[in-house]
Amino acid sequence: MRVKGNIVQRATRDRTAIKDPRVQIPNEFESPNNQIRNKPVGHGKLELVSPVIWRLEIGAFAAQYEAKEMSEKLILESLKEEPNFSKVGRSVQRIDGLGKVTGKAAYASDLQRPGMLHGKYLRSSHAHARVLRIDSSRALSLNGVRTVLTAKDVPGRNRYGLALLDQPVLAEDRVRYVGDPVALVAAEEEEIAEEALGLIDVEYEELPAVFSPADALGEGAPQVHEGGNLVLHFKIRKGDVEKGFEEADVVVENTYKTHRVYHAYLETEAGLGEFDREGNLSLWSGTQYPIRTRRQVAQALGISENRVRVVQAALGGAFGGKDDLTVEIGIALLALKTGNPVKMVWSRRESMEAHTKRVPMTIHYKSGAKKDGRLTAIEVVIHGDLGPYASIGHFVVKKAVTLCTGPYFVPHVKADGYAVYTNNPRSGAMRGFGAVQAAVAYESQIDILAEKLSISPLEIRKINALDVGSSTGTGQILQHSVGIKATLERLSEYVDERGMRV
Amino acid sequence: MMKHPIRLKVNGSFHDLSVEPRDTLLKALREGLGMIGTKKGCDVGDCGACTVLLDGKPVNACLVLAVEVEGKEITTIEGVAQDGRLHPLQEAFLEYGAVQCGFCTPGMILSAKALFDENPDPSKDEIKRSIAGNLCRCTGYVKIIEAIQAAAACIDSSRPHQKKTRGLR
Amino acid sequence: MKAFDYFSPGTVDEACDLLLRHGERASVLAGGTDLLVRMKYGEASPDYIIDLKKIPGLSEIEYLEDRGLRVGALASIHALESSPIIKKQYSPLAEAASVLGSLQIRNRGTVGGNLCHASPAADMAPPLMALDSTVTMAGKGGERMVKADDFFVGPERTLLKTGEILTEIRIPDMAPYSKGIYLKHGVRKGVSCSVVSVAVILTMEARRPLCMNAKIVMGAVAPKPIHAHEAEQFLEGKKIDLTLLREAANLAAEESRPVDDLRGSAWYRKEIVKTLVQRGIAEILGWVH
Repeated sequence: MRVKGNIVQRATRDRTAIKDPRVQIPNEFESPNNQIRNKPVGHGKLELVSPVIWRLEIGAFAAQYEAKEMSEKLILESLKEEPNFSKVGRSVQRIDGLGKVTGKAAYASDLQRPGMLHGKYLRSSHAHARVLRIDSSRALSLNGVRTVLTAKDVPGRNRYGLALLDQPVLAEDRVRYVGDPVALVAAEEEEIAEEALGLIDVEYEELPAVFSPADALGEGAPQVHEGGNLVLHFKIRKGDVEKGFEEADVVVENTYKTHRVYHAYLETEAGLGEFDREGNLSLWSGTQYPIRTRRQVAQALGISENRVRVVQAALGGAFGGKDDLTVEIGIALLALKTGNPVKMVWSRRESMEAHTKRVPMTIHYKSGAKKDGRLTAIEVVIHGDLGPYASIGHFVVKKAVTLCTGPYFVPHVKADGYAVYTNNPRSGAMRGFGAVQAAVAYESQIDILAEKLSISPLEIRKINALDVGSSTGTGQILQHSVGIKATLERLSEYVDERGMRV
Repeated sequence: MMKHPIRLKVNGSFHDLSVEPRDTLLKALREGLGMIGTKKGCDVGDCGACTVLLDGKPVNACLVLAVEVEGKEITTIEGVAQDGRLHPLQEAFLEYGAVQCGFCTPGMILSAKALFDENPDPSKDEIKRSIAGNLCRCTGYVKIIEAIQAAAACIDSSRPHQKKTRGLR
Repeated sequence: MKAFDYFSPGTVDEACDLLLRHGERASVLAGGTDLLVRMKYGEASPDYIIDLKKIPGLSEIEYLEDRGLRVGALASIHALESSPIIKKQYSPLAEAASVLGSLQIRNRGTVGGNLCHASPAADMAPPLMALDSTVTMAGKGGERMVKADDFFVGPERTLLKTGEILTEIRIPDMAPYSKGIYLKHGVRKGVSCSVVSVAVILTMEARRPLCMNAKIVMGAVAPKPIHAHEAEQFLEGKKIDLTLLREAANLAAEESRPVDDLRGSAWYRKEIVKTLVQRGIAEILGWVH
C-alpha cells in the first residue's frame, strides 16, 4: 500500500467493489459456498478520518476482497475451459488461496476499524473462590481507559453455553477456574488495556476446590455448580456382559489416562465488534460456528438475533478450539457500552490458560476374548473432566462411550461415561471429539490381548473387524461402506510383500 | 511516552512513522503501516509467523524494535509478488496444497525465499532447516516442503547451465 | 512490554557511561532474542535500553595468523555458523551456532548476548570454554580479560560489573592433531533449549592412538557450564578404547550436577551426559559417523 498519491484513487475503486460485491460474477457460477466477505453494515461512506486509518481500513477489507475477486475470476476462467464444468475428482486451487499467499487475507486478528478500542479480560487467579468485591476505580482513572465492565453491566442474560447455560459472561458471585473472566476493559491502546487489568482490585475468598472427576463425584466434594458435579451419565448396553466374560478364555483389565491437549492454532482467539447507528451489531471473529455464536451474543446483550451479524473471518486454525465462544460476547458488550468498535486478540498465554482443551479422560477398560482371538465382552467406565463449564465436553464423553468398541465386533457391551465438573481448566471440542481418547484404550487393549494369546496384532484385528452386517456397540447393524476389513487385508499384503514382521 | 520519528524501508518504499521505543517491528508493520500479511502467532520468537526479511535475512519481527531498523531493507510477504506476478513460491504453495489456514504461509514463503537467495538448489534437508523456525499446525509440513522443492526447480530452470527443467507440476 | 527510553550510543565509552548512570534500571540490547522475550513475560522491566549495535567494530570475525581468532561480541550466531574460518578451524563453535534456536533467532542473536545472558544451557559457552577462549570486558576504567571458563558465576550471573560490556572473544588456535565436536540433546532436533549439551575436543599424539589432551565441557547440567575435569584428566596420555570411553563418560556424568526441571529429570540428564560424551569421543576418533 502506498502512502502518497494513490489514496483517493484507490478509495474510489474499492468503494465501487464494496458497494456491489456480486456485480462481476455471473449467476450460473455462483456456488452455494460462495465466500464473498460481507462488508460492514453502514459502510456506505468511508470517512477520511486520517491517512493512516484510512489506509488500514482499506487494507483490511478491500484488499483482501480484491484478492478474493481475482482468485474467483481465475477459477471461473478455468471452469469455462472444462467441457462439463466439472471439478469433481480434480485438484483445484483453494478459493481463498491467493489472499493467503499474498498476505492480503484478513484474519480476525488483522481487522481494523476507525476509532477502534482494544478489549481485554481480567481473569481469576483462583481455581475456586467467592468474589467479594470488585473495585475498578483505579483502572477507570487510567488515561486511555474507556470502560470497565463487570457482571452487573451485562444487559441481557449473564449466562451462556453451547448446550447448557452454565457459564457466566462475567463472574457474579464465584470464579470456578484459574482464568475465569471477572471483568472486561476497553482502552485506546492494547498496552493501556493490559495496564488497566493490573489496576482492577478484586477481593476473593478462596473456596475448597476439586481437581479430578473421581474426587468431584465423591462424598462431600465441593460443588462446582448448585446442581452437583455430574453433567451427564451416558451408557450403552448390549447383550449380557456377565455371560460374555464367562465365555472368555482371557480377560484383560487396565486403566488409561489421556491428558489435556492444546489445539495450538497459530492464530489466537480474536475478533472485532461494531455497532452501527441503528444499533445493529456486526461481529467478525475467528469462529467455527457463526450461527450459534450469534444466538449466544444476542441473548447476552438482550437484543434480538436479527440485530446481530456474525461474520466468520479467515481463521488461523481452529481444530475445535474455536467451536465455542471466545471473544465474541466480550467485544459485543464493550462495543455496546463504549459505542466504539472493539477488538480483542488473546495473547498466546491467555489462549493456553483460559480456553477449552481436549477433554482429559480416565478410561477403565475390561476386555474378554476367546483363545482364537475373538472378543466376547467389554466393560468400560469413562470419566471425563470438563472443567467448570460444560461447553460441549459432555458430548465428547458421549462419543467416547459410543465408539468405545473401536472398529471391532463385540457381542456383549457394558459402557458408562461420566462427564464431570471440576475446577480444572476448561475442556471442550478438539478434533476427534472423544474418538481419540477411546482409541487410546481400545487399541492398547487389543494389542495386550494379542500378546497374551500369541496372535499377531494385525491378525487379531482382522479377526474382530466390523463388516457389513455386523452390529456395533450401540446395536446398529452396518449396511454399507465398512472399510476396516479391506484396509487390514491390504495392510497384510503390504506387510507380506516387504517381509515385515508385525 | 516519547515517540521517535523513524523512517522504515519496506518492500522498497520509504514510510515515515512515529513509534514508541517499545513498539516492535511487527506492531509497526501491522498497525502503523496496515501491512497485515506479517502475522502475530506467539509474540516471543517461537513460531515464526512474524518472519520478515531484514537485509535479506529472516528474522522474527516480534523480537525487533522498530527503532532498531531504520535504514535497513525490510521485506514482507506483501513485497514478494513483483509487478502483479506471483513469485514461484507463491504459485507452488497454491498448486501443491501447501496452504490450509494460511497463517504460517507468509513466514514460510519468506524463509524459503531467503533460502533461495543464498542457495538456489537446496537439498530437502536444507529446506527443512530453513523452515525449522516456522511452525505449521495444519499441513504437517510435507506439502510445504514439496512446494518449496517445486519452486526451487522452477526457478532453477531459468538458469541454462543448471539441471533440467521439471516445471511446476 | 513496559515502556522504556531507548539509547543507541556510538562508542563503547558512551555505552558504559549510560550503563553506569542508570545502573539496575538499564539493560543492554544486542540481538534482543533473550531480553525482549523476558520483557514480554514481565521478567525484566528496564527503564532504559542501551542498544549496542551502532558501536562500530564489535561484530567482526577476524583471524590473525599469530593471534588466533577474534570474534566481536555482537557477531550474530549465524555469522559464526557460516564463517568459513570457524567452520574449518573451530568446528565445535560452528556446530554449536548451527543448533541454537531457529534461523530467525540466529540472524539476530549474538554470541556476546548468549554468553552474558548466561543460561546454564547457553550453546556458545561449552565450545568457547573447550577452546580455551578469553573474553574482554570493557568499562570506564578500561578493559579486563578473563578466561571463558571463569566468566560464568551462576545461573544468569557473570563477572560483568555494572557499567561493563562484553566486547570481544579471543580464541587461540587449536593444537595440531586436534578435533572437536558439539552435541546437543533437546526435546526435539531444532529450536529447543538444551536438556544436555557437550563440547568435546581431543588432541591426539602425532601417531593416533594416544590422547594428549581432552576437553569436555557440559551445558545444562549445573548452575553454569562446567568442565568434566576428572574425565578430562582420566583420558590424558591414554590410548582410548571402548572401556576407557565408558569410564570417561561415567566420570563426566558423576561430575555433572543436574536438577529436575520441566525439560528432564536429573537422573535422565546424567544418562544423557554419558551418551553424549561417548558419542562425541567416538565421532572425533572416527569410530562412528
